[in-house]
Amino acid sequence: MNILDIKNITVELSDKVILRNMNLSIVQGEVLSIIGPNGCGKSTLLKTIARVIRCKSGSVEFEGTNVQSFSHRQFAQRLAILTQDPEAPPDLTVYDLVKLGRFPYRSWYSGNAKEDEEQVAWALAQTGMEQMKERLLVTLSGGERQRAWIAMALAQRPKVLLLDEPTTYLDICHQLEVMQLLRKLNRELGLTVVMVLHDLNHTLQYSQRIAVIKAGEIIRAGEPQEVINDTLLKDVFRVKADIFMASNGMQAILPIDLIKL
Amino acid sequence: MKSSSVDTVGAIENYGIPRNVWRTGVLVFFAFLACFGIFLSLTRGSMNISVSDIIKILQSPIDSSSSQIVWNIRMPRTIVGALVGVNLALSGAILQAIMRNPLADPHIIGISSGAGLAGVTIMILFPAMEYLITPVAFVGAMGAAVCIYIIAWKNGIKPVRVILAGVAVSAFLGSGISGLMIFYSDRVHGALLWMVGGLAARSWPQVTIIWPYALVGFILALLGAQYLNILQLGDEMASGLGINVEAVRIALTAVAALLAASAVSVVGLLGFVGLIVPHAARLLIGSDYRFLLPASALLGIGVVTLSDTFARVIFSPIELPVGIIMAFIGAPFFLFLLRREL
Repeated sequence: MNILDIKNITVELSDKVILRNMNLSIVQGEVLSIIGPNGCGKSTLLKTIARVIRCKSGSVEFEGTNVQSFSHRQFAQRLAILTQDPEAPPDLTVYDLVKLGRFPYRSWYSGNAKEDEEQVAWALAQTGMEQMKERLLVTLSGGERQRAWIAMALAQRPKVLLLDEPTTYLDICHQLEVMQLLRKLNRELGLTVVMVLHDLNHTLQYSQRIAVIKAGEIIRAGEPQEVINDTLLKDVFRVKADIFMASNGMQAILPIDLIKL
Repeated sequence: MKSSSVDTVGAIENYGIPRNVWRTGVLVFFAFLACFGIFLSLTRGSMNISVSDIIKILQSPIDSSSSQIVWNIRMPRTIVGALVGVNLALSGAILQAIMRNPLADPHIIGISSGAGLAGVTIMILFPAMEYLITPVAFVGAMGAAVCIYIIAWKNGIKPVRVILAGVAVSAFLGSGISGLMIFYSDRVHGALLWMVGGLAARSWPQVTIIWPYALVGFILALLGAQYLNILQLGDEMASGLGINVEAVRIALTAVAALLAASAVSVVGLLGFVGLIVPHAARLLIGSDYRFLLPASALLGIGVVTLSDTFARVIFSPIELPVGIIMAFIGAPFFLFLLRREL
């Protein structure tokens, strides 16, 4: 079953076409990675799905309903987004951050404090952040901080989590930590994960499907092992790469050289 | 870690005090400061009145000269000063969050100038319609805010563009005020004092003008506290958390403009309160707006009443406008923030 249907969307920013007549369906419970060169429109696609950017034509549907017909809060209860390198005040604690994830369920006249506490505790437990909940965000390592943000998104109890380059600025250990957390959340909670990634090896290891974007259009979509090959790397990224079998039986990529056009 | 974060973190974490205890303590301290400012403002001046006399006079007005001074001059002036402090501090605190700029202050970014131009226009051209000053000042303040957004907007709000747009708008509107004053130089005396911002001769009529705005503005600001907290995460995250960012920003800008305009229409262009107070409050209480807003309000009372008392007594019997004192403290503080935050 499709949880999100992107139907023929065109997105313009400052009168420049960023996405052109794009179609994509996202299946409930899958991990989908979006890859492509810098400036191809990956982040724009993510923000359009999250309703941060409006599309000029076409529509995005969540479980068959146009996303524009949800209220802001209703939509935030269904879909959460983590942008690249989000900002936070320097004295914000992990607990306070995660609590903000309950905002879609609160208003100035209503809200269930007990329910909120339980959901915050649950989100902290899912991400392994219980011990660090009183810590300030700025004192955490990059990987811990990313986990705190993911906990905030989980506190929204979304069905879909969108992430824009969740592993940028992290060392390889913390990169794996974040990717494995996302895999766990996907498997145990059935959370649909859609993320923009730069690291093609992560794409191969952790996603069930990938969509390749070039110049505002999806040129291929499918299982990563089938989609990523010599021709694609040459056409999209202009690199020559070796593709080989890693010790865990998964494909791995090592870029060897640039291809001059 | 950025150096700007360290001070704030240090102030809040190092003493091993639980957060809520610390925050309550800071609020109590600011409340004490506010009371101290009000007390000094009532007792000090060209004629010093003792504590016991003040208490007697406050309990039952008597027909003595000191009672006259307290009830007709110092009391309303103190109340106006306190409410102006509250309004400007809250306005600054709100603007700093919605414009994503630590230097946002109604005076610096031209919102006060918008209110000022509108106010001076009424004062000079239509003096008979003085009762319109506050609503017209609000329209002027809102207009200036809209101009700043339009100029600074380019795929989102960037802090540096906001400040540059604000400075430009402020200069533009300031030239309008100067132009009016030169064309109608025979009528400018009132307007001239108003340009600096002062509490001299402010009495009960000004109290009745400002208190409803202060009350409504304070309530609206507190209702917006959680929105302000989330806007600090950036527009995109705020949108993802279920906030209609444009609508909330317009609504909160209107609240900030209302607070600033009502303050400007009673004391004129009093600068820097909206800059200094929220920052000082933030250093001690942190950036959670549910606490920062009441803390700014209390500190605003303290800062304006203390500065005004100082302005009255330092060159006694000559009285300085409080705006001069605020600018004297505020300008170096602005430069300090500029170096630290941008």
